[in-house]
Amino acid sequence: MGMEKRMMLVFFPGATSFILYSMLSMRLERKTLARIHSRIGPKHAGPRGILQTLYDLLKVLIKQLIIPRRADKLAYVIVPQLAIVFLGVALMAMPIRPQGPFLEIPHSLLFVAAVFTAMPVIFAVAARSTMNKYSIMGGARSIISFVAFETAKLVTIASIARLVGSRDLEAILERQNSHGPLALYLPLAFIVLLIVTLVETERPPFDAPEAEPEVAFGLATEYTSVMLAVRIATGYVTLYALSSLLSILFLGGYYGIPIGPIGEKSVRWFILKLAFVTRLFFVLRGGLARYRPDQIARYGRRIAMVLAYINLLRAGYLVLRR
Amino acid sequence: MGMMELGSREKDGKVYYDFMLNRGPQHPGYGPVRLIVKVNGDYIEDARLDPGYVHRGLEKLMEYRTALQNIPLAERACFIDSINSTRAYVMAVEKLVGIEVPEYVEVLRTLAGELNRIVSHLTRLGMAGGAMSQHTAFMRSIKARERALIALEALTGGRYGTEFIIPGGLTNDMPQDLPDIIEREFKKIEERLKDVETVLLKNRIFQSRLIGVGILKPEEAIELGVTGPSLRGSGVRYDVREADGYGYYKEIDFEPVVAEKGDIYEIGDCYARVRVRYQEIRRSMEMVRKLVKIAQSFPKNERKILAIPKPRVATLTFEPGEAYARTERARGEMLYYIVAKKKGPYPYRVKIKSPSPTLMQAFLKLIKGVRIADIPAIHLSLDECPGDLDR
Repeated sequence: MGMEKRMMLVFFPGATSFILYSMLSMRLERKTLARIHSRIGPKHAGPRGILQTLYDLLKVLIKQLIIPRRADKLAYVIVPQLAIVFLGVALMAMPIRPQGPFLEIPHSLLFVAAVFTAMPVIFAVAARSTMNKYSIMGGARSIISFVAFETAKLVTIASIARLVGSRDLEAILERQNSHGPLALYLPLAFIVLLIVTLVETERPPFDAPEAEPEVAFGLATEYTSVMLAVRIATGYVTLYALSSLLSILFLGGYYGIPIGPIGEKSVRWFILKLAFVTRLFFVLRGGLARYRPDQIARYGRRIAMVLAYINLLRAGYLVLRR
Repeated sequence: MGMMELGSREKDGKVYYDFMLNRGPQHPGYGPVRLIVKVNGDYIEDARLDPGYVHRGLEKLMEYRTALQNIPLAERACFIDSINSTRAYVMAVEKLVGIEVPEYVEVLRTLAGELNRIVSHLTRLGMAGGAMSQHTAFMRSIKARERALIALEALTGGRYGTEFIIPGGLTNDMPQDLPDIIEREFKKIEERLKDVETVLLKNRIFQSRLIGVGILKPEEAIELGVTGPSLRGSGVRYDVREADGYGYYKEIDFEPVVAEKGDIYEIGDCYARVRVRYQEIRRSMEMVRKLVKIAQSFPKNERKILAIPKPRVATLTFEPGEAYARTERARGEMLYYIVAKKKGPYPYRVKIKSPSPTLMQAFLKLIKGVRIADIPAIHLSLDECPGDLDR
């Protein structure tokens, strides 16, 4: 492993970028939601309140870590961190800069999709390890919503692979460079994956796993201190990974129009698109309410599935017409 | 208290075990009331209530205080709608002592009561949104409530503990610029209400959570003694303001809001109840506008805010006897029953009949057989208050 790659592991797409992304997007979310709610949002910590998330992080970190007596201690500590590791692996396989991905894996689209299927298992084990009723209910709800949308997600990913004729993320980027962003060809696929992202990041309207009036804080009910930080960060890192995937699959990743200082191929384009997609989720949150778990399951198995199959047909039609 | 027998059930060769779940007593969003539910799968089999976490012994405390000293206690039955609660107490005292209050006082009491109803309904409408993760509606309605509180403060001088209504009259007169203040603030409230309607009542997800859930049939509601907007949500036309016509309601031709057959919702479901509450805000605003005009039309010399001299208010003595009075509060019927056994400044016994206990009876009945996720929807649509429940 070369020096550059080792540095990358620390910074981008490594742990530093996770923390930075979590903190920046948390601030963006608070400010965006505050505008929708017609209030101000974080204001006092640092200039215009930009240090608020840093203070929050520090506050959480210096708290005492309380592990419930009945909890399975090893699983309690390790499993939530595994989620972040898995997400990191998925991010490493994504070509987010022109020099290529950190991990050169053939069929990287399939690899990324496969890594995400591990998430419900991780949540199940994490929920069971705390031995708390609310955690178990929250975990069960997570699994219900993940599994309900799994097929729709995989069918959509298959449609993209079919249209491009490759299961490699870099090949998908190449095609978008020559033919234009995929969001123009498969808008339904974009919508389905947007919904799937809402499900997997547990955001409204699919935030039943964390529904406060029903299951307290869901999975994180028994988490304190560092573990709480890890749990909250998992949501944001999932958002990071899925927003990255969306901007690579549909918006052309690091390819862009050569304007001024930003070249045609630049990581800055990717960051811009990532910020756009991330912001989209925060704006969506303001106007939505929460579905019941059974409604989520029905929605995933019927509407999302139908949309995914219509999209698959459209991809087939586009291939045939070529 | 609280232990329930847990069993199991066999279905398709598999055994399903019951599961006990605690909700509260320290619950974010509902206040201190504990609910214990027995669930099998996602469905509620049995539910029990464990109230008493905010029991302050208001009724007992009232026996050791004079009629005037009891005002802060009467307010604290449920502080969100303190004016209408105090009014019932003061009306009972006035009946017992035999005081006739001037018409101007009744107009201002009704005006303050309707403003307080707006405050209460806006709070609970927002909370219903907050429980459904619709925080935009929550923030907007809380902002609207702030406007209603500014108007209330201009009239009474207080926001929650106003101590505005006292036996014999009021503590202060209406300020000169009140009509302007109310007009200014109501414009803002109307803007916010439109937002709340868009993001909450017209929200498809919110509708899908409430419509057809927790249907309270009219016969059931009457049998359980449910009152207030929750009863009118079931399509029963009963409102103490109309039935008794107390205060100034008869003179301004008050008409209650009753749920009618809608296109999308059923009568008596959670959505119908929330909708009644939303419409009542608008109805109350109409009434406040009317009442302000009436209050303004009183000539200067008729604007008397006390029926009895000030020192007598503080030294009211009860003659042996008993009296009761009831008002329509934001949550339902509020009744005070006062008994005085011997001549003196203290009542012998005060009984408070508040709307929340009967609402909770209905709640316990409605949540049997529904899903866990429906508990907050039913709870918030019934609009119960723990302080009012425990007293």
